[in-house]
Amino acid sequence: MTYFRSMLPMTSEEMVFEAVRKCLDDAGLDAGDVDAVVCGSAPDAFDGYHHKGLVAVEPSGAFAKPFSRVFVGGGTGVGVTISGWWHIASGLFDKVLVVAWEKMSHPYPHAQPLFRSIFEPILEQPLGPNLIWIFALEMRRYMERHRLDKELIARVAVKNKANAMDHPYAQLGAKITVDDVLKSPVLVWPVHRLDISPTSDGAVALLFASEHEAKKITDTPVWVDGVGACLDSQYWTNRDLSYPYYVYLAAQQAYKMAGITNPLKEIDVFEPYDPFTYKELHHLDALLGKPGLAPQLLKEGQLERDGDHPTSPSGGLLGVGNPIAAAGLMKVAELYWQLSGRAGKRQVPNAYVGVAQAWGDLMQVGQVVVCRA
Amino acid sequence: MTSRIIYTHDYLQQLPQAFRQHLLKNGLNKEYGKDWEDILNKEYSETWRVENLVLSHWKILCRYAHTPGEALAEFLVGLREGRLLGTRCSGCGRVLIPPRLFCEWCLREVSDWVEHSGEAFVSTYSLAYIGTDPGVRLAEPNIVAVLWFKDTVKETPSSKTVLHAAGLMHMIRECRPEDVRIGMRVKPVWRPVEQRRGSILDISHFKPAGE
Repeated sequence: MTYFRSMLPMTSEEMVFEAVRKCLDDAGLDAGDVDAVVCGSAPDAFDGYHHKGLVAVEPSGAFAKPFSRVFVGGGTGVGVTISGWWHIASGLFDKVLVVAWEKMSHPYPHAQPLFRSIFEPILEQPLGPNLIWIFALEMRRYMERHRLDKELIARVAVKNKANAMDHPYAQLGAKITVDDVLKSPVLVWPVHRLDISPTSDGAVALLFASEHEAKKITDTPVWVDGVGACLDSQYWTNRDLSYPYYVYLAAQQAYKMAGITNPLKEIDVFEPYDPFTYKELHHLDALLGKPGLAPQLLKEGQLERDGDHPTSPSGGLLGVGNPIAAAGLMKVAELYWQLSGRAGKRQVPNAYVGVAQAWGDLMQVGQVVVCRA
Repeated sequence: MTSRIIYTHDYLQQLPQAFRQHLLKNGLNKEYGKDWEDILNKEYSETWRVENLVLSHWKILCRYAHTPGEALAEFLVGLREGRLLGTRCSGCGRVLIPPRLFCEWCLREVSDWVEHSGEAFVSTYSLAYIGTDPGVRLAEPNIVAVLWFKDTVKETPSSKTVLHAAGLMHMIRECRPEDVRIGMRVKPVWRPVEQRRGSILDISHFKPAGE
């Protein structure tokens, strides 16, 4: 992967190239060894030109090969992973390169007006919304249901930014306190500035291989054991936002494939999607299938890297950064590093099974992948 | 791959030549990856000054005229007349606001229209201290809320999980920010007839319904 930064002095092509080159070098392969390429990136509007998926063709060595772009909003990072797995599982391909990138520094002066355009144009846009509204609305509903206070939720930012201090590519690793979060400016209450992940540039690449090829490439392969995807209705004002049921359903699909019946006991590393502080808890609730459990684990300190249920040991989107599609794939890459024992200072002891999840669109996409060492 | 392998000599050899030269010439092979602000403070050779780096600016000048479609057109006409309309699915019995001509649960056509009194309660709310442009800070926060309309909520009997509720996002006014509560009863405040133009803004806002 490349560095995640608020602005990288590279084009999308150059970022993709860097991530792909590192990935292939690590595997000891060259572009000619790859059978197909799956790429992922968020809306074209960030780059300001259409069919931007094509910028990944050359830098990933994809010309004259099957090439596809996957797009499921913010869930794209894990969506490309699932697509990469399909390619291999279908038996058609032996080695598939999966790459996701985002360059959010193009829109000037900020990407925020583009985010706003996800609102429905006739009934919602006239109210003059900004993206943070929906998160604040969802967060408030979640706090109400489980009687949570801001102090507890702020600990997610403290934990993740501290974890990111050990991530060599992180944008916002920092030692902060709960007080810092609470005293940062209120944007849309209950969301404060430090509750939010940054906009970022960055790219991540992973190589997927069939069983016999994987064993030739490395002694420590990490296997995709289960995948799941689910989408909820876009009429989000008709839904109860306090529990992401769609993430629960996606997780159940993945667990069924992986033979997992008790996720809390059987999974060693969790990488839920954390673009906002409460989101990590919200999603972890659904990954565990128990509404309200995640905040309790957080309170007991079990979500720390040295706790019983390490969550976002990478530093997550809050710490490492949030180049939309690349952020989701960064979480899968973290599973690879953790489960193959290559996570360095971030290493969680005895990590054999991990789950990564990404989320997106108008509070409706759940994408889940379970990996095993 | 976990270690910082970037920009070793071997690695630089693999980069496109122009990019490599840029990094080497400006000492960025060591510095590269720090935040952009740091890089801005570096002395640059003429060709790689920031002015030259940002090669193009453009705006996409494009306006949209969204078609409301049959269901929403009916709804908007209703708003202009001061009536809140929804559709009702004869299969699952749900009241659909925003209205649609099909039920996504039953995947069947929906043609029954119902009028709702507009009485609602707060499903969730937030206090927006920033404007549509996040750079603008508001002196007084806007109260943004998701409102669920009375008697339209469907929930599971056991866990009381809400499966569906007819609802809209709108603003609450005539209420102090600290007084808003989830579950609070509200009612719509309509714009004067002559100002209505068939828009969601024909409902000026919602206000507490009192007891």
